[in-house]
Amino acid sequence: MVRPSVMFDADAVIGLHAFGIWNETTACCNITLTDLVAEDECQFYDSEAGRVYFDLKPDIDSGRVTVVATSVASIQQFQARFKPNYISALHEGETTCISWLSSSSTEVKFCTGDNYAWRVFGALGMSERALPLETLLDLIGLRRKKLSVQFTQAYCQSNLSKGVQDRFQDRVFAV
Amino acid sequence: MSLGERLRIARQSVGLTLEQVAEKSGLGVSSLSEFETAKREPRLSQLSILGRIYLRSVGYFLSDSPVHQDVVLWRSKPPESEARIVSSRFRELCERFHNLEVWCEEESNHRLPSVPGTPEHLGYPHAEALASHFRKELELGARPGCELLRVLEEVCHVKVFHLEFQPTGAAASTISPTFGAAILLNALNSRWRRNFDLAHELFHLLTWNLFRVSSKNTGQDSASEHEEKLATCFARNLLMPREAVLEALSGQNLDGGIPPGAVGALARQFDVSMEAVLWHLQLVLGRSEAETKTDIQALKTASRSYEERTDDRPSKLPRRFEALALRAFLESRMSIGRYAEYVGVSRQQAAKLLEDDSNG
Repeated sequence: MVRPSVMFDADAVIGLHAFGIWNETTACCNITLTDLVAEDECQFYDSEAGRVYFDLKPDIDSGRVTVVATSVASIQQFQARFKPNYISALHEGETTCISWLSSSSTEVKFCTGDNYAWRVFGALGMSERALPLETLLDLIGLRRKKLSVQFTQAYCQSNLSKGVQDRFQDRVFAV
Repeated sequence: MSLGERLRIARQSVGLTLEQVAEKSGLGVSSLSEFETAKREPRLSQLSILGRIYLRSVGYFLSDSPVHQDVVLWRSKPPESEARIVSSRFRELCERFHNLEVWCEEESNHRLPSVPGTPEHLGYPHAEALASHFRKELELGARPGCELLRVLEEVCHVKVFHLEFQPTGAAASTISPTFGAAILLNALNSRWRRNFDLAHELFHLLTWNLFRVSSKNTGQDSASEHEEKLATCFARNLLMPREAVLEALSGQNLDGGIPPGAVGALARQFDVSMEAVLWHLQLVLGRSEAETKTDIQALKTASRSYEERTDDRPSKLPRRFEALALRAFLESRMSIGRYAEYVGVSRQQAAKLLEDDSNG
């Protein structure tokens, strides 16, 4: 099986930790995170026993996870393509992910649990690079239970479609 | 405006030195200085940390639009260092509220009337008439205390936030070209005290053009004594309509003064403090200031409290803010991370709402 190359946002990283399959996933996939997601947004998950903190540093140091730097200038350039009110609703972590993906020539897919990130992804015409967690886990044989809505293929598709519609309705890009 | 300048302005607006920021952020003083002088560019994760300390969004640092400094009008302004932090938090909340309105396509200017004229011509009769006019126009009824907050938020689209700060006598208001009319109340106060502050600050909003825009007071963060007295007059008359107060007192024997029990009953009825009732009765019943002060002193030293009633804590965020945020999130108009940040929950807690929504 070809190892999937995937960029995770914070929701995906937190979700995988909460499901207890983060280590198995890092063993099966080439994982990329942006610096903002790795350094600032992935610190804990909530469990029934309370808040559980985790540390990505060992994965980064060992090379199991690759962290890519996103400069202020690159984000500014990316955001300038959009109408300000459209892009401001996208959280910074996901902004760095999509910005990096939109300028990378690699076949890295995007995995997020963020409704609006899928929407922007769809608006950018990048739906083919969408890889919802449900699909990824099926692909690598790690899905053990029904996933919450935010990680499903159906939820991803529904929001990608909204983004495509936004584009047709001229709601996305700055003139 | 450059990123460095924005960082410096943001730091100064919360009144922090580079050393203080270094201590809070874990970043070095020299790095912070180099960021501000554009000798080095911060990483986005560092901007995110600084944004939390400066009470600014990362988007603020990335924007190239001009920075607008809103005037926040304070009553009993807290010490400068605390006022800067509270003002910044207030502005941050108002900007978030405005973003939610935009994302939900419910953006609208506040719906408050503006008072014509000049500050010099505005006297107590005008303040009383303005209160009466406003009460009738918004159909607040004879006991507006119970309705005022809801009407200002939901009908007039005034952004009202509650934060905890000292002194408890402090409250603030502003009208921003960006996010519109907003009022800050002290969450440490009782509901009836907050009601009065709300009405008081409302006067400043209604007369903003008069006192702040078209006068020499532009840019000042406190009102003159005269303006504050007018605001107090307005608040009393708005919350305690003269006719309703007289009707409530009818049949009572007031020859020997106003019994504390009657003052307590009026305070509960109009949802204001007993002290506010006594000051208002001075005007309504034509009593002397000395009599009022004696009654207030008697209340304070009374062996039993006549102020017994159920208080409630204000909600952390306005109901309309919460409703817009939930709608924006569930309709995929904003990121889950943005929702979590605005409402103060974790991403997983936000995702649980999605789950609940999809399960009907």
